Amino acid sequence: MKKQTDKNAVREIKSVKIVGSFISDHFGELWDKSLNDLIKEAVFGVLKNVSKDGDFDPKEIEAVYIANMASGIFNNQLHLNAVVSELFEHFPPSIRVEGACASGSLAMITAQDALNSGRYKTVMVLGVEKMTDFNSNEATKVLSSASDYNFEYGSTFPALYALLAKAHMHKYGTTREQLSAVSVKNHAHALTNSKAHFNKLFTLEQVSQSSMVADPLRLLDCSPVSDGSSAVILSTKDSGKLLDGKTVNYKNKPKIIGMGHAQDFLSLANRKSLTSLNATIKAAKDAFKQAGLTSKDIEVAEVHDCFTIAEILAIEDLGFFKKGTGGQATLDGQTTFGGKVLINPSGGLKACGHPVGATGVKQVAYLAELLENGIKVKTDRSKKIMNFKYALAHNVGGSGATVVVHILEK
Amino acid sequence: MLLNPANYWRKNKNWNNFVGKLGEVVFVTRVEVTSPELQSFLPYCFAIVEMDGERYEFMGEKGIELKKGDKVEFVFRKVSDSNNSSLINYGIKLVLKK
Repeated sequence: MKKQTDKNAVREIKSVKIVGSFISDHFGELWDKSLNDLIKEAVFGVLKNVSKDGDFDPKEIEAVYIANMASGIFNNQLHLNAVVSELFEHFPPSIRVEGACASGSLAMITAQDALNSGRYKTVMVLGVEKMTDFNSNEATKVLSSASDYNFEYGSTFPALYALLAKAHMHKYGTTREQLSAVSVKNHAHALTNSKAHFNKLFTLEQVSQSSMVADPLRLLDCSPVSDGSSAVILSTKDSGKLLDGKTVNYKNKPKIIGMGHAQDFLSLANRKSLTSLNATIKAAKDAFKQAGLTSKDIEVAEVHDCFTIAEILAIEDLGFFKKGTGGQATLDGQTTFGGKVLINPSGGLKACGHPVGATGVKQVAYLAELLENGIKVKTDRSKKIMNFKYALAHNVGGSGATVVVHILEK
Repeated sequence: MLLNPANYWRKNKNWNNFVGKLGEVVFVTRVEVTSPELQSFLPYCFAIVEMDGERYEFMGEKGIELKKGDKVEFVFRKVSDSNNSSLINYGIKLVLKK
């Protein structure tokens, strides 16, 4: 982490390690699991994943940050911090963080701030959403609460991104086929991820001919309504304790070396640009500055592809591709294995699923596992492991009013 | 999204800034999936509209097709379905100005 000296500099942060990560058994329509089941799965799952030598000692967790968008509506539960804290014998302090689809990454930076201040040394961040007890029309209504309620009535989440897509198509000539290429690629990536909501390949034609949701966005341009949970354990210490008293060394654990958080108007009508998410540009600038890196250093990224146009906006605004070229780059295979930068190897929100509060934490958990273990890639004759040094997570709230970017290092 | 009575009252104070005035469609989408209380309006247009140098977002009146550059008039219309015992919600919508 570079130390900055100018007055607008991003302050230096402590080295925060991701010492454990977990993504629930599966994202999807999990009829047999309740909100509380998903929370328990993540808490006990991440405690198991810190070390192969045994379970992590829960007393090491000094505080828990839980991310969720709408359990008050979906599940009639508005006291999630207590729900998660009581799973521990020592009742650690717990805080719920809500910021629409960026709830997960906002919980991450809230936790990091507590670690950087020195208040805590080891904390858990957990994201969860239980959505599928509502039908898709009801879920559409709940998710529309992420828009500007008073100035955008009649809007839906897909409608707002459809307007962004129209603007991008108008200015840069982005095509229907290029939007479809994002979906096709992410569904293909999800085949490598056993936890993905969907494990099915689609063709460009199938995406382009799926039912219309909000012109030009069709059903297969949209991320699904999913249930799921995810968790990470963050620490500024060099080691921790397992339940049997053994020590687990954090030396080789992935680190968070940069973070950026920026905001913009809720309402699209008030935005300076409809072809960029300015909050992404600002958050990325801060994250790269803090990490001492540029977009050229990033080999793999999980970006917020709630709709296909959102991924095209993201890969341009993050600096991976010039404005207006993200769609063609995707169509040309530049964002898959063997391309310029690997985007959404998990399948992204589109195919891995989008349990809203869990997504931002899942992106970091997935990338931490990727940095630790690499990813198996099929070649012509065999399978090989691809390894990465740097990774980036990009999480968006609403149609771009909130954006958080994290940069991780192996 | 259904407006509750308090929000409905707060919002109606601004309606006279729009009713009868003209704007131009900047970008528009045709919505085909929406929340339960807007089902009877489907499909409807949702647009960013410019009026006097300011931009706003509004629904189009049921059944109208809008495209970029169209001149529209702001009108007073029912904006969500109501059941027998609830308020009937009115607000600003767009109609094509010929």
